[in-house]
This record gives sequence, structure tokens and C-alpha cells, in this order.
Amino acid sequence: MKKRFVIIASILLILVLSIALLFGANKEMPVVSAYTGLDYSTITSGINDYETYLEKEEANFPEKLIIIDARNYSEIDNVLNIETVELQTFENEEGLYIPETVDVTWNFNVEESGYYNIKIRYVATEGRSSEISRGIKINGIYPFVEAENFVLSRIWEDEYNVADKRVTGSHDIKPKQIEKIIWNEETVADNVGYYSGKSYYFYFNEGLNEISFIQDREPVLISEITLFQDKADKSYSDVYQNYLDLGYKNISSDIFENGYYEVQGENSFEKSTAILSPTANWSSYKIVPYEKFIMRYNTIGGNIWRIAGDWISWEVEAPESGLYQITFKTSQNYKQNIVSSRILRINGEVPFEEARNVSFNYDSDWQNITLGNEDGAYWFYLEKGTNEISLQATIGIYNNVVKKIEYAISLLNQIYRQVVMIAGTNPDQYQDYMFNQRIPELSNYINNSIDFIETAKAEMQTINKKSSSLIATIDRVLYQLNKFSESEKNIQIGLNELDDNISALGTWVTSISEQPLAVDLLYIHGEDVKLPKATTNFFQKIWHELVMLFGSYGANTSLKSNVEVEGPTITVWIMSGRDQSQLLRQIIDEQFTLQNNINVELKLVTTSALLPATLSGNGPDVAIGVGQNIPVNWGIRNAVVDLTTFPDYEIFSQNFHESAVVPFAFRDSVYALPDTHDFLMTFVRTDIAEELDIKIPESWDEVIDLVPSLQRQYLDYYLPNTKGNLSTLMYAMIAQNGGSLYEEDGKRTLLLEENAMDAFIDFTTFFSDFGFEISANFANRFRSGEMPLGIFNYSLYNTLSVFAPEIKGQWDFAPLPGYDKDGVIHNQSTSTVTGTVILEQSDEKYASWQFLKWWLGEEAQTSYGRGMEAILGSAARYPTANLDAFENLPWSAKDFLILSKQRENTVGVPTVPGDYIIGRYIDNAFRATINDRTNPRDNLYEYATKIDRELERKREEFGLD
Amino acid sequence: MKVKNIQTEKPFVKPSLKKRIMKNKVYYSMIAPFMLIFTVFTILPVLMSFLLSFTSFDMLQLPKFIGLSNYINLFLNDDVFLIALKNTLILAFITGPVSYLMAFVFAWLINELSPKVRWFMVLIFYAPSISGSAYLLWLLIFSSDMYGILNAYLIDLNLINTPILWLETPKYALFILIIVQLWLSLGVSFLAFIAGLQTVDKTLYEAAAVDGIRNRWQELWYITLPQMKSQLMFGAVMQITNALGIGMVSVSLLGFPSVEYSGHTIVTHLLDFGSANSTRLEMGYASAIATILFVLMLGSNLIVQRIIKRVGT
Repeated sequence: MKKRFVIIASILLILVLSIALLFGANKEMPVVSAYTGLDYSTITSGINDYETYLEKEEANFPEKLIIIDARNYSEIDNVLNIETVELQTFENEEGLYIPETVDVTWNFNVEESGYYNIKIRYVATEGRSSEISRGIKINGIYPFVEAENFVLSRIWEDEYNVADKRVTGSHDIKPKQIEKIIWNEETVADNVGYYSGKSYYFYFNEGLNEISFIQDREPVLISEITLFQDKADKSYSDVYQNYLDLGYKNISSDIFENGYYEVQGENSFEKSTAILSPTANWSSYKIVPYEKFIMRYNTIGGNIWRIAGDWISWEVEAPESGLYQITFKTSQNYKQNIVSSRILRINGEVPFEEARNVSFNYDSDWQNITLGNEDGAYWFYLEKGTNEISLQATIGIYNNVVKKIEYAISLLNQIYRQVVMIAGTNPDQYQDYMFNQRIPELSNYINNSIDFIETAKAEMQTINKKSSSLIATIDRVLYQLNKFSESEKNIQIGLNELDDNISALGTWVTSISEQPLAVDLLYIHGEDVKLPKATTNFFQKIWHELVMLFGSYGANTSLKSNVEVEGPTITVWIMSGRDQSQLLRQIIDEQFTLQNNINVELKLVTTSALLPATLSGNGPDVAIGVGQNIPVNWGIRNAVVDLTTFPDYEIFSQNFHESAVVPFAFRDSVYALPDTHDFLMTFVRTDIAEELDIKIPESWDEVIDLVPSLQRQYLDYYLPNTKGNLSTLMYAMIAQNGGSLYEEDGKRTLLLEENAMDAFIDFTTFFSDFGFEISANFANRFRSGEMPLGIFNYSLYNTLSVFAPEIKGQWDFAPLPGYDKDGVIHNQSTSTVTGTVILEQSDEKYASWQFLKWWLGEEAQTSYGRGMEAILGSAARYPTANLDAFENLPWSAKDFLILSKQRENTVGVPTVPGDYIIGRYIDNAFRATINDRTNPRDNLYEYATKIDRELERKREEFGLD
Repeated sequence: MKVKNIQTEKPFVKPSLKKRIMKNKVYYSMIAPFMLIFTVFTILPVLMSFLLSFTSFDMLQLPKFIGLSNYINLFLNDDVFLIALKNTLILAFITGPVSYLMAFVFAWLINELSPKVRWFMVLIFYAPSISGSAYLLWLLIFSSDMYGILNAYLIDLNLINTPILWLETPKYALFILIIVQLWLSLGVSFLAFIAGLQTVDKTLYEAAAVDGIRNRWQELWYITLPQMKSQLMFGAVMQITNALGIGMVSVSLLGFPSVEYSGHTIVTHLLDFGSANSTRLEMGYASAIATILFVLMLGSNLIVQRIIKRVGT
């Protein structure tokens, strides 16, 4: 009895104790400061968006027209002073030419204060064929975030209709994309689709106002700026009622011979970008036209038509005025469970509200989509004769989701950065960092981002019931944030995960704002028409796939030329990717073969195939994209042609910066010319630099001064170093300090000279004494902000633009730091190049030289660079070596200037017999210093003698004195 | 005279080669495809490489005969080769025998387990060998970044403050290479040993017990091992070739060339001079290295064969 009592008592006691403990623990939980709803003012990276802007002022929309003559500007701001504004006449109309580097301001009077739309009459003058973009300031400030960037589109068209040049049984030839330079009018509008693509309103006070266009990208010629009231959208039912009132009739299908009028999708009238050229599609045999294994450019769009803002228009012939239905034969099998949205315009105007959001659902097969709602198809009024119908990609129904997530990302980035500055990237789990006290807005940030993300999630769920796979990322972030708001301890535990989550969210939002769609046909018709079927059934699909599969073994369509001429044939090997080689094929056919009467056989190979092929006599005539030190090494063995033997070499080599040719030259011979030219730049996270008030260091001394303050906040400066090779940065430093690697011809190394030695020691000290990280993934840490500054080849731009969309616009290039010598900064940067060579065993050396000159010339390099970007987006920005072609690539004016200025200050690494040894041994000396803490000078002495021995051995092999 | 007598006494004349082939044409025709391929792809290249080792050949121009100077350079002027030789021998002497013994011990132990468990264990041991370049995962473990697995753990445990550059520090390089190589090389010989252990005739153990075997060690030495000599031989040959041929692992883990040649082996030295991606383009010299490696492997195989013959005696 007693025993039982004791047991029960102790159980009770334990229960009571544990409950007390539990509640007690709950009470001890850190108090999260009260959440008082969304508070935008605490968000420093301003969410001063258009939506709030519209509510700021009284809603007055005066029906007045104010026309500003662009020629009468009041002020210009031309800091860079490269080009300036001037009056130009185009097609008998005079306007103001504004280069991409100048800000222009106009003053004008407004009689009635209120919201106005702004229309611009402009000519897209020839530039780098990217879209024209400017910022717009009203009375000296950006009225809202979106106004920092508006786009005036260029207009492109096909050189000819593909169908006109079609020959049965042979491949189609892709029409060149031609820019249409005409006077054009465009309203400053939401181009992305945050606000259904509507025109932006700007508020002007009564009296004198000023409006400024802030430089961004591409020059433009402007004649007039008009303030007006854009037509407001009406709903479909109103518009239709209006049509009926006006006496318009629904067209009967009988007026067409076969019941409908069709336009081939690829036969577009105009488009906003050269990317949208006709595409070949074999996905279904119901595509018109279709031929097995023959390149038929039979559709337009697809995955390349995914960027919001891009539009395509078609011309249709209406036999009489009246109301028509419109059907698109489309395919959206690119993004599962995502709705692709388009804005429909007829003759440049959105006919009714609903046309701002035309949806194309995901489906694995082609579909005939007749525009309409649940009640039936819409009727559109078309005038007799030619009408223009256009579709513009837009974020559409995802606009709110995208906006909310973007806000959340900028908040999360702030949370991450501020926490890192207190606790570093690897916080201790058990330490109390007191985040809430040290970052007063922290809980607000967290709660706000939770709010944003939850709204976005709810919206996703209403859009698509099956969206569970799509919101997995969102759920993960939400879960983590909720834990954060529970206890600040969880922040330090989940910090690394937060970083991953931010980047996942960034990728997610980019992906959801992409709206791919392919169009095969466009029909206009009356009611109850029987259109040709677009779908195929299961068996047809299987059969089609089988035919394509087995047929693919026989037919190789990829790199075969479409044109043939009488002249000689050369073989060209490209050591790159498949997209690259296909594009090159296309450019060769368009620009080279017919013009030069030379056939080109193009092959895609791997780099390691070149040597065995040359050895066995099966090598090519020309090889593109060979590594930096191959040409000289092969050249001194008489395997590649010395290009200086061609009479016009001197003139042609002017196309490249000297430092890009240096690696290919030995003695008086040059064995290759560069196709790509990359060099080191400083990368800066501008947002962090601003926050920490960092001045971008220009000299190494300044770098060293900066580092402690960075490291105090657990941030780092990245310096590149390569294992087993010559570090490009170290070479740059040697050059900056006035040293060099070799004596003339590479007889002996000059590393032991004072200048080179000092640079080597300085480079080594960074790592041994100043605690720079030797091994780090820069792209990763730059993205997360742990390394807000760093040095890397400028082509990292490509990686960052796909890999880190969430920091877009928050980083910049800066010149390389250098040695400060009597107030002058010497900041040479090292070139990294790849080259094009002509092989000695070629029988067609002259034709090969013709090809090489064409390929490395301005026209081909520009087409190639732009084409790559057209296919793969800005992730494929091509680091061309041709100076004129570089100017033609769509860099922004600022980036272009910084890059070309640094390029003028580049040095090439000479290639000499035995040069492989120098990088190896310098690196050995470097590592020995770092690892064993030995004297760098001694190490370099030891290895320099070894380098000399190897150089001498190699020179003996070649019988050089 | 005497010779003649012997010949007359033995009238048997060895039939000519042609006759012998005709007589056994079925067997010859069966082995012909293999022999053809073996000759073209193995014997011929070995011979050619041997011949090329006396020339200077850069693959772009015709070979030049230079006598023994490749070999002279190799042994007298090339201090990197001596590092490579040293590293290779260390690797071979440690990983070869150790992994051979480990493979055998594991095989012996696992063989005692029930078939299902045994099957599972075999899979675990053999997996590294069949999974190709799975050893690259060691890159993650030994990554020099502070996010490398080992570094992260050590930092987490507060054993170190800054990440250790595992793969870039000479004193760790060889050690890491040995670990990875051990992990990799257990598989093949292990499988052979398991197979060998299975084939041992069980009745022999009973007979031996009757004949007075006293313990498991004697059983192992006198019965098991002699019974599986061929598997032991196979395992040994594989182990030696593997150990002397370490190269790709070093290149993928430590980079090429490794820091201060700390993980340089004969094979990487060979690749340095002779691979298609090398800018040195010294095929003749590479052939000389290959020849040395060949001799080294042949020699150690002969020694091992001698040793294995002694097993069970």
C-alpha cells in the first residue's frame, strides 16, 4: 500500500514539475516586439512603388494635352562627356538626339495639377540593338521605383517571309532580323506586367514642372513628349454593347472560302526583339508546315518568348468591317502548371480590360485557343483591310505574387546581411547575440516578409489548385521564418539555410515570371467554325516519336550547311557548345559562304581531339576557341600557320587589343588571333558598400586599409589564386609594379628582379599576413554578401546574371586596384584569351585566312555575340576580343566605359617554350610560403633557378640559342 | 656422335608450326579474335612505346632518334621524377599490402556471416570500385573551403579556427591519397577473395581436423590459403597494378600538378609530358617513363608471385 502511494506521489510530483517547467520555459521565451502590421517606412531599400504613389496625391486626372518640344531642353547633365546631345533630322522631322550617357531635363508649364500619362515620340537610332532604357525623374526625383527604368522598344522584322524562299526537300533559310527605324510613339508604361501593362500616371503640380530622362542604355532621338490622358479600359461587356450600339455585326464564317482566315505564326509583322525569329519545331506533325528531318521554320516563340515585355505582331486581312473571333494555335509545354499570359492589342490598342490578361494554360500538345471567357468567345472589331494583332508577354496573373516575393527577398537579404555583420557567417549556436536589441527592426522585417510570402502563397493557391509543387520553395522559407520569429536563437542556427533559401526564392521568382509560348497559326473567323485539329491522339504521338527517334540516326540536320558554292571547302572545328556551333553555322551561311565563295564544313569537337587528329592528318583547316598557350607551342613545332605571313595581317590585327595578341606571339611570329578576351575586374556589391560606407579601393594600400573593417564584420575581400598555374592577379601585380616574367624570348626568368619580387611578396602577404581567404567560391559568397568585394574575370557577369538574379542591379564593376606610384595608379589587368588558328596541314590556307578574318571581324563577332545572347539570354554575354564588336554588344554605357577603360590597361602573359613551368613553380613558391610560413624571397630564389633550368632545356630542344 | 644417336633413338619429330595449327585449328580459331585484339591494342602499343622511348617525339613532327638520353635525363636530371618515384613507391608499399591484407581479412570475416548479410557487406565493400569516379566525393570532405565537410566539422567542434587547406598542403596530400586509395582498392581483391573462400572444399576442413589441425590459424594457413592460391594471385596482381598506377585519383583530388608535387606519381608525371592536353608535348620522354613503370610493375609482380608460391608451406 505504502509503496503504491509513494509511486503515485512521485508520478504526480514529476507531472507537476514538468508542467511548471514547460510553462515556465514558455514564459522565459524572448519577447518578440509587438507586430503592428506592415510598416513600409522601416524598409530601407524602398518599397516606394507605383501602387503607393497613386494614392499619394488627390486623384485628379485632367483631360488636358501638354506637348513638350524635345528640342527645347532646359538642362543637360553630361558627366562622362563622351558624346553630347544634338539636333538631328530623320525623315523630315527634327528631334533631339540623346546619347546613352546624358541626362536631359525639360521645363514646362502645367495648368491643372493632377495625374498625367506620358507619351514619347522617338526614333530608335542605331545603337547596340538592345532595348532603349531610361529613368524618368519628375522635378528632380524618381516618383516611384518602377520609374527608375522604362523601356522604349526597338522594332524588328524578318528580312523576308520564310515561306517565300522555301524549296521542297531542302532546309529553310532563316531570315535575317532587320531593325525597322521609323518614328514611333510609345507611352511610358508598365512593361513587365506588375500593373497589367497599363500606362503609368505621373503627378504634376500646377505651374512650372520639370521632367528629366536619366541615362541608362542606348541612344535615342526624341521629337516630342506629350502629357495626356490615356484611354481607360472598359470591360468586355461594355465594349461589346457599344459595338452593338454602333451597329457592328458578328461576322459569319461564310465570308471566308474555308471558314477562316489564317496567318502563319512565323510570318510575323513586327516584333520587339531580334531574338524572336522564326523557329523550327518538330514536336508534332500537326504543325503547319511540317516536314520530317527538314529544317522548317514553322513557328515563332517558344522558350525564347518568355521575357515579360517582348511582343510579336501579325497582320491579318479582314474582308469586311465587323466583329470577328480570334484563335491562336499555340503550345505551352515549357513550364508545367504555369499559365503563360499575354496582352492582346489590336492596331496598337488594348480593346478591353480582359485582353490585358490572355491566358495560355500548360498542355503537352498543341492547342487551338479561341480567346474568350466562360460565356463564350470574345468578339473583336476589325476594320476592313489590314489589321495588326499583337501579343505581348506579361507576368499577368502572377504580378502580385512576383511583387510580393521580390519585396520579401529584399527584406530577407537585409536580415541576412545585418545578422552576418553581428555574428559572422558561422554563428555560434550557444552564444546570445541579442539580435533583437542590436537590430531594432529585425522582428518587423521578419514579420513583414512572412506577410509578403503568405500573401503570395495564398494567391498562388487561388491561381492554380495543383500548385503544390510550385510552392514547395515558399513553404520552406515560411517554415524557417516562422521559426525565426518564434525565437531569435533559431536565426543563428538557420543562418546558412536562410542564405540558400533566399537564393532559391530568387530563382523561383525568375522562373515564375517567365512566360514561354509558341505560336504556329493565328486564325480570324466567325462563329461555329471548324478549324483544323491541333491535337494528336496517343497513337499518333507514339508513332511520331518513333519515326523521329529512328530517323534521327540517319538524318543529321544540325550542322549541315544550307548553301553551297563552287569555291574551295574548308573544315572548321569549334571547341564550344552545341548552341554556339549552331549559331555559328547560321551566321556562316548568312554572311560568309556566298559572299566569299568558300564552303565551310563546321564540326563540334572537344579540345583534346585536336592533337590526335592533327597527328593522324585528319585535322581541320581552322580551329576556333583553342586555349591560350597552344598556338605558340604548336607554332614552334610548325603545326600552325604563322599569321604574319599574310600580307594584310598588320592591318587586321589592329582589331584587337595588343595584350590579347601577346600570348599568341613568339619572336616575330604570331600563331593565332584572339576570339575571346577576358580580363580581371573588381566586383562590388553596391548595396553593401553603401550601407557600410565603403570607398571602393583604388590601390593595394587602400585594399589593405579596408580589409580590417570588413573582417570585423565577418566580411571578406576576394583575391583569386589558381592552383598549379600562374595566378592572373599575381601577374597583374607584377606588371603593375613594372616587372616582367621573362627576358626577351623567354631565355631566362626575371622573377628575381626587384619589381617582380616585390609584387610576388605583396601578393603572398595578402594571404599569409592579412588573412585573405585562399580558397572560396567567390560567386557564391558574392551573392550572399559575405564577400562584397572581389576580383574576378569580367565574364563572371554571365554567371551572376543567371545564378544570382536576386542581386541584379545591386552590384557593379570597378577598376582593378593598382600600385600607387607618386600619385599615379598603375592598375594593369591580366588578359585571358582563346584564339583561332589555321593549321599548317591545311591545303586551303588562303581560304582559311579569309575565314579567320571574317570570323574575327566586327560583323561576325557582333552577330555571334548578339545571337548567343538572343538564344541564352544575358547569361551568354560573349567576351569578344574584337574591339569594335565589343562596342556593339548590349553593355550598359557605364559598364562599357569601365570595361573598355580597364581593357586599355591590360597585359598579356607571353607564351615561351617551357612556359608551363613558370606558373607551376611560382605557385609552389607561393604555397610553400603560405603553408610553411617560410621566407617568400628564399622560396622564389629556389624556384627561379629551377625555372631557368627548364627554360634552357626546352630551348635546347628547339635549337634556340 | 652421341647427339646423332639420341636423335636416331628418338624418331619423334616435332611437327611444324603449320601442321600443329592445322591440327588444332578449332582452338586456334577460338583464341584468334582475342589474340588479334590483344596484339593490336596491347602488345603493339607497348612495343611502340618502348621504341619511342629512344626518340624525341612531339606528336606534331616526326620522331628523332636520340639513344638513351631520355633515360639518362630521367634518372640524372629530372628531380621531379625522383619525387614521383618516391611518392609512387610510398603509395604502393602502403596501399598495396595494407589493402591486400585488409581485403583478405574482411573477406575471411564476412565469409562467416549468413548469406544475406554477406551479400549486403559485399555490396558495401565493392561499391567504391564499381562506382567510377565516386571518389570525387572526397573532394567535398577535404575541401579547403570552410564549408568543406571535414573543415566544417572541425570548426564546429572548435578544434580549429581557420579552415585547413587539406588538398593544398603537401604534408597532408600523400596521406589523403592513401586513405582514398585504400577505400577505392578494397573492392576488387575483396570480391576475388570472397569467391575464393566459397570454392574451398568443405570436406578438407573435416579431413584436416581428423589429421590434427589445432586452431583456425593453422586451418587458414594449411587449408584455406593454398586452396585459393589463384585468387590470391589475381588479387595481388590487381593490387600492384592499381597501387603503382595511381594517377587519376591524384589529379582529381590534388589537382594537376599538385602543390609542390606533393601528390605527384609516376603516372601523373607521365601525363604531364605525354597527354594530349599537355603543352609539353614530349612523347618520347613520356614513353621512357612508361617503360620504367612497366618494368617496375613486372618486377614487383614477379616478386609477389614468388611470395605467394610459399603460401601454405
